[in-house]
Amino acid sequence: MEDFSSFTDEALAKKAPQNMEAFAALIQRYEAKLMRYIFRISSFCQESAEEILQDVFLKAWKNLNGFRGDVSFQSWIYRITHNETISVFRKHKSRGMHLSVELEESLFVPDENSDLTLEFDQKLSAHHVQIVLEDLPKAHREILVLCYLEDLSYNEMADILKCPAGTVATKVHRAKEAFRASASYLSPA
Amino acid sequence: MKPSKTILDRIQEEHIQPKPKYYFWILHLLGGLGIIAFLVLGMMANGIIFHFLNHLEFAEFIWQGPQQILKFLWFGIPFLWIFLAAGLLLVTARLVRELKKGYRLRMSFWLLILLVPQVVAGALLERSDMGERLDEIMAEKISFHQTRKANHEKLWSQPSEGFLGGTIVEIQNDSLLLLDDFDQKRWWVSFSRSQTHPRLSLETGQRIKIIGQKTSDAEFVAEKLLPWRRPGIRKRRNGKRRRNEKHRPQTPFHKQPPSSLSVEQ
Repeated sequence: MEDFSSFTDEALAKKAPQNMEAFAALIQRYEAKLMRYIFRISSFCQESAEEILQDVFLKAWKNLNGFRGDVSFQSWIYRITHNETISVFRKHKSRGMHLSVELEESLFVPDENSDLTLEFDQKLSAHHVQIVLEDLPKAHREILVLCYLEDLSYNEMADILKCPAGTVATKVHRAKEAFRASASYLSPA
Repeated sequence: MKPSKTILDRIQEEHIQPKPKYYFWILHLLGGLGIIAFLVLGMMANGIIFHFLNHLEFAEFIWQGPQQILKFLWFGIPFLWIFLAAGLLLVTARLVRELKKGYRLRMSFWLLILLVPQVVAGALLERSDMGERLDEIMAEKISFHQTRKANHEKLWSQPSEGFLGGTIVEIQNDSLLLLDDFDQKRWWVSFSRSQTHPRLSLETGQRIKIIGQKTSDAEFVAEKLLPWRRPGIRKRRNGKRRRNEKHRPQTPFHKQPPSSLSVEQ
């Protein structure tokens, strides 16, 4: 197998339509990250999350020639994942299915660079972060996951959510307010 | 089994291929053409709106009390065309936001950016008489547009309120004309003391608007005579040219004698 470690995501994405190994390298780079992201925003069970992930990579494969490089590959694949997860979530909701499961606390351990709990001068456990996030409306939850757990920039979030960076900043602010209110309500005094 | 292995196996087993590049080119081309088409349609709708608003004589109705103002708003303002233009603007803005990084700017920004050329083009269409042409075409093709035109006529079918519109049947002399209103009722209109709009030259068969007073069932005293449609710039220029040609002196310095005298000579 060819060594693609020196290739950027974008270079791999350009090579991938003609080279299956390049696409395999992309999958390897992103499967764990995207799986975690699906869990964090949806609370789906392992099986459903894997199905979503498969569909995400299949969609990415089919649309590789449509990737123009005007956004980063990371933003592009996160956007597909986001849309696919939301779409499955809506389908389940419309059928009255509830697939929420107990998720591992480790999924909600914030990134070292952006600790959600530090934002509020409160030291919350990963378990607590999980409870508070699950209690929030989906829109707030998605934005906080992208910002603090996935540690993405406002521009990357703007590309994923397809909205202006200024709108992202407003959404983050509102979501933080909601998190603070929910955390103070749920946390023991 | 790892998801990556499953995905790759599925791609190979089902021979799933990436969509070809030309598929995306065509998609973008269609998107671009869609934007241009909706933009042009929006401009045309604005041209018609300007054409309607230009002929409403709002200034005449505003002094006639709340009832007339309400009638004016209800029958005069082309709401359907305004909604249609707004809808086209929204669709265009949505399409633009889907293009490349269009989403990086706010929807309100795109609406404003697209509204400006639509409004400017609408005003230019009206000034170049295209608004009138579009109005005529729409009146033939679209039923709701015919209703709108009929509503406009209703505003000028209120002789008791002082608003009369119709077609000149005959000009008797410098102060009296015969007019058929929109219900084909005949009126004697006295205009000896009326103000005539500078761009109105009275001719048989011409549609006009009259503001004045009903004095009997078939008589109306005009205070103002207005053209049914105000001509756009092109028509005005043509009209001026025609008028100049009409009144061009046959001999230099306007020294041609009156016809009665010339006959005698």
